[in-house]
Amino acid sequence: MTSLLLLLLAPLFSGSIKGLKAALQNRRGPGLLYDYRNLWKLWRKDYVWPRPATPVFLLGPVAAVLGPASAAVVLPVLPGVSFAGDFLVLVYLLNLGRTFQALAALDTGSAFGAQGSYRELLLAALTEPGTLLALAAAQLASGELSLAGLAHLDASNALVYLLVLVALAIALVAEGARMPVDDPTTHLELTMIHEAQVLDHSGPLLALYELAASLKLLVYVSLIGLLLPFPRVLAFALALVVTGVALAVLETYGVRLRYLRVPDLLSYNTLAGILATLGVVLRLRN
Amino acid sequence: MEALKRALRSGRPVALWHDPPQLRYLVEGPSGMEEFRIPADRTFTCLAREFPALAWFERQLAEVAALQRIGCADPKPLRDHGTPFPFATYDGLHEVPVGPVHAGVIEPGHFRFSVLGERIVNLEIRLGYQHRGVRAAFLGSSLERGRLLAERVGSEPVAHALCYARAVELIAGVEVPPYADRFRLVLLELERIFQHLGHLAGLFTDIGYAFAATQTGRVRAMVQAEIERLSGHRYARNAIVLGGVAARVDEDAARAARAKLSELAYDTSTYIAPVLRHPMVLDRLRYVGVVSEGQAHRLGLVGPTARASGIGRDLRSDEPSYRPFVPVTRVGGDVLSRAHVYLLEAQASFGLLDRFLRELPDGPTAVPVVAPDGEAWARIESARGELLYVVKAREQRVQAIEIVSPSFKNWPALEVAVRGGGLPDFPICNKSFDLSYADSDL
Repeated sequence: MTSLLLLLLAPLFSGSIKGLKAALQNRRGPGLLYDYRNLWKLWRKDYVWPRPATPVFLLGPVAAVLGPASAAVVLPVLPGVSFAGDFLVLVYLLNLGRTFQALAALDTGSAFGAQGSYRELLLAALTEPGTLLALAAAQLASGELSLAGLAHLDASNALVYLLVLVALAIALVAEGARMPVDDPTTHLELTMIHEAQVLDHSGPLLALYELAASLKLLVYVSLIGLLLPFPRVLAFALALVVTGVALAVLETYGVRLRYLRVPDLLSYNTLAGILATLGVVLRLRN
Repeated sequence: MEALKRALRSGRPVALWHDPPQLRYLVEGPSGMEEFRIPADRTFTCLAREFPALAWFERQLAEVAALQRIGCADPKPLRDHGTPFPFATYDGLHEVPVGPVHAGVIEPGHFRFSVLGERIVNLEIRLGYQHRGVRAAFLGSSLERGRLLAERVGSEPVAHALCYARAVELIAGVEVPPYADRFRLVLLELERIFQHLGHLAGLFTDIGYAFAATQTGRVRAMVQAEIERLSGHRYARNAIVLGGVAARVDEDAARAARAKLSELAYDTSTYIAPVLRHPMVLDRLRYVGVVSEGQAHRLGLVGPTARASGIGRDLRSDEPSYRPFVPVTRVGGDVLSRAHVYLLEAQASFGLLDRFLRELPDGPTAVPVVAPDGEAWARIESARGELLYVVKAREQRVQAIEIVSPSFKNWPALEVAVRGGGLPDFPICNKSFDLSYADSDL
């Protein structure tokens, strides 16, 4: 259920960020439904098959969508599947999608694909521990090991939850390839991280990648929504709006970090994860 | 030869071209311009080993004049794509080829990086993809047609047309009317602001600062509107003619342009200048892509690039109309210094424009130009730096032409600046030099 909802909403989310960014820059934006039209346009196009590519080249975009889409199954925004430890499944299904994406980029044999892959995998390796620790801390603080059992933010767990939110917010910009970690609008191959991986994919394959990118963002948005002290759907909607506005503002008024400085930012993600876990273990209450 | 070497040691090569049966060197030294003529029939001696500033000139000679090089340290082609390019390779280093087709809509050029992880150990640039046979197109064309061609050589039509026109006027021995002389400088300064803001907007886009890029782009577009108001064309094409300018700007238009330009000068100081004080912008631009003053001297760099490395040479200092004139100089040699030079020069140009437009003299707009057979050269400080045209006229036609664009002299600096830097920082280095591919490929 949640997967379906996120799949349907993903282009709207990325489209409205584009529109908002345009408005903040005094430009006329492309309209909220632009990304649906764009996906439809790309879907009907032909694609180019690089000479050295193997079927992994096709598997990349498919897995990139299936990863976050199947991860969303365990997200309890709408009632769905739930079991103990499902947050681990969620994180690693996301990683599975990325692994195939990196393999597909390597498979093209282009220098940019390889460059994008090693950069993205480095970022992934740096983000994973913090994100996992933060989610685990939230679960432990709630006394339940399934996402559906997550308690809302309240006075008793505020400290831990704030740290978890920090970790998730940093993970969102890093994994979603947004500013200040990556610039989704850049055309400069040498600075690209995520975009460099998808350079050789065209037509329907590119459509899948575009869908996957916004889907991944939405998975993180839903995770943030789960922590907020409101009914599930309302919290999700609120997280959607807040994240969208925050990303648009960040990408208009922010400057992209120098690539070699990105690990500095991601260290805050790890730090927040460690502190959150310590907070639970040491039963820090305010 | 010894006199030439002595001059090169204390000066900077401005041009080197083959004028059969001799090679002609123009060298600007502390005491002004000197010319040297060295006989060269089928071969010539390379001096690039001692004077790296000559390297690209000598590579060009080997192709354009088909002369054999003697004692050449680096016998690579320049624009010729018929021979394979011997890229340097290093054991154990990863080679990253970029271009000539890029992911964005930009000019074509091939960059070959040897990288160790994310660090650039060496960069080699291969150009020539924009070669259109500009020299051949000039040969035998009428002097007037030559002006049309000059406007299309690169992305700075005013500077090229003005430089060509001045060379032809020198041959003819005519002096342009005061009004035309002044109005040409108005166009030149407008073009400088337009180009410099373009460099800055590109830089801000590349570091992902969308708001600054949009604001800079807005001011730039409005400067272009003023170019159109004053010249009738968005790039001021056909505004400069041989012997003067095409038309007179009426007083109302000049007044309106002055008002608008002072508004834009204000916008530049309010919206664009603070960007270069933003801490994250500083973090991206500072200490990146450094060209030291010594390197700038040895490579013979010109224009804003040289001025950002501490060489305070601006050809506008030589022109009486500009006096009093102080060139903008920075000493850092990094991307930030170049951005500062662009910003400060654009701001200074707004001031100059106000002065020029207020004091537009009366009188005719142009005088007829009838050129006897002869040769002359002219130099202009275009937005990118020193532009040189050497024109030889015969029977009212172009018999020979040599164009030395600032980009041609500054391209080697990029190879030096990125060495040791990070691969992801290359695009902002490249943008900070803002070199034209078209006018060095010719």
